[in-house]
Amino acid sequence: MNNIFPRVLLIITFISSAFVFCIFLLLAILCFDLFDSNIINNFFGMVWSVEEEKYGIILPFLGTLIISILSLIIAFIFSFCICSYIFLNKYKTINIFLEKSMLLMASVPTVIYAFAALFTFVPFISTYINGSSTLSILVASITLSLLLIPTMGLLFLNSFRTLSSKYENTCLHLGLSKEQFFYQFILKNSIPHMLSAVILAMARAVGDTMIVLMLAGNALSMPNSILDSARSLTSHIALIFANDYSSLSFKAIFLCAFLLLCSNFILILSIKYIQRKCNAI
Amino acid sequence: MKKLLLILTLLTGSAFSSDLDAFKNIKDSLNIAGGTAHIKCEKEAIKNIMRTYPDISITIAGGGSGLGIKQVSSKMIDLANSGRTPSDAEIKKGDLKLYRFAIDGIGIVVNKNNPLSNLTTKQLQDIFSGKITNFKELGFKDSQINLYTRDESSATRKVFWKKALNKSKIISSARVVASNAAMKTIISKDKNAIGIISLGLVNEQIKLLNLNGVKPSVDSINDKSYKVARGLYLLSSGEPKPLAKAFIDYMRSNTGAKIVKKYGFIAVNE
Repeated sequence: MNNIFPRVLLIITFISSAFVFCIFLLLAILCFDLFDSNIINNFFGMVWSVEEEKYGIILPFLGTLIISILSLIIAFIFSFCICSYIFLNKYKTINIFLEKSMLLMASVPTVIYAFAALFTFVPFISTYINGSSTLSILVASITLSLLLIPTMGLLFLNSFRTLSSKYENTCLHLGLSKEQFFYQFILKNSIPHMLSAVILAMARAVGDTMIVLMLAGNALSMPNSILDSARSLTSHIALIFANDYSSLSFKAIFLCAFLLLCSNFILILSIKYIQRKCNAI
Repeated sequence: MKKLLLILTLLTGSAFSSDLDAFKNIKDSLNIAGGTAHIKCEKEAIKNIMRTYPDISITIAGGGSGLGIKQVSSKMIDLANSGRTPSDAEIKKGDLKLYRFAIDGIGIVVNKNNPLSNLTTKQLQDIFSGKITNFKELGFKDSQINLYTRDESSATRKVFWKKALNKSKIISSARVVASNAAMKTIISKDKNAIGIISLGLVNEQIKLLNLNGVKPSVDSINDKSYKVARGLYLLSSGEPKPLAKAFIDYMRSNTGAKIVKKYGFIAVNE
């Protein structure tokens, strides 16, 4: 029995990684036709317009980067503050409330966040902040950050607690206060874990479709400020999916998907790299 | 008196349900997808059918006319909703059969608190090409216009571009929403919005604009004074299966026509 379980796990892991690899391979093969010097130039331009036969996917790619980085910054600030507060706070009721709220946030489907923002946040922004911005990068990023707060926060908390359970007694007996213990020991030592949590959240932000599709406005022009509208790669795929299979605009989907998968792979590899470095230390 | 009432009820009941008789003895499921303007009235028809015949299951999804045409051509769905006539190449490729059951207008809409009530074709072209960006240029208070359009696979966008804009350019910074319903939601929330929508979805939450002084309505579409209109089609690839055929017939029956009219479309049967 003891031998079977790890083997089953190994097989399942193997099958799932084979699936991911197959998807990657499939996309690479589907994109292969496009790597013809005449066609590929079509895709790496700034203009997407089916009427003018221009299929540049640089703008959606930039849109993805801008929205996910902005949401990551917002989510990092909030999740870090919440976790530090939970760690340092003595009142158990508040801690339990905050932690359970984060768990609850993690279980809310993204479409619910998008809907709620559409009916509350969008009219608020247009009435009180700037009349010309309703569906915008700012709205999408703030809503997306709600999705990232629990992803990062729960991992932060986990790493704080693991370190603290090992070293808290020793450090406190050496004369450190709880705050000193947190700032000078826990924070310094949990940086690699926090970085991997950030990268995991980034992967989630890059891959999210519903929130950006409903809230970012999907305009295909270069945004001048965060109050302008932008389109992400994921919503671009969702919006051009209806084009004819044989058209270049449909083939652009494969390239978008390939880019998305590549960027996620790069992010995951960087997690591995950081973890390895951390273990070496 | 009671008997008379009973007979009357039975008579009207049987007259109402007669259009549903075609669904008798059918136990099947039907998948419809595509244009989003059709959904509201088809949903009511589906409710009538499934309430009377619980063995029948009909699902309906959006995605835009382009997606509908593509999916029905590859037999992923049984019927496609389309807000435009498919191109000759599309008809040939998917062996498409067209069934028109309604005519729908496409209206230009603004937030209900917006004082704007009329636009000329020239103004409309200038707004959608980005030459006019502020309500001040139209003679109203100084606030930036938030322009909303539909995605490229939408028939609403295609027909509007052809018949209202006379194929003039739509600026790339216009925000893009994925369905008629989403358009209604955002226009009702954004006080500086201008967008396009199927007339079937217009209600008191948003304000419909006159185009060149003509109010878009069933009458003005009928007498051809409002030209931005299109047929609503159901498409099948090859001959439709019995349930799909029954559904098409129901949408074009008298009961179907009543539903179609209720949602602000013009019923047709051809």
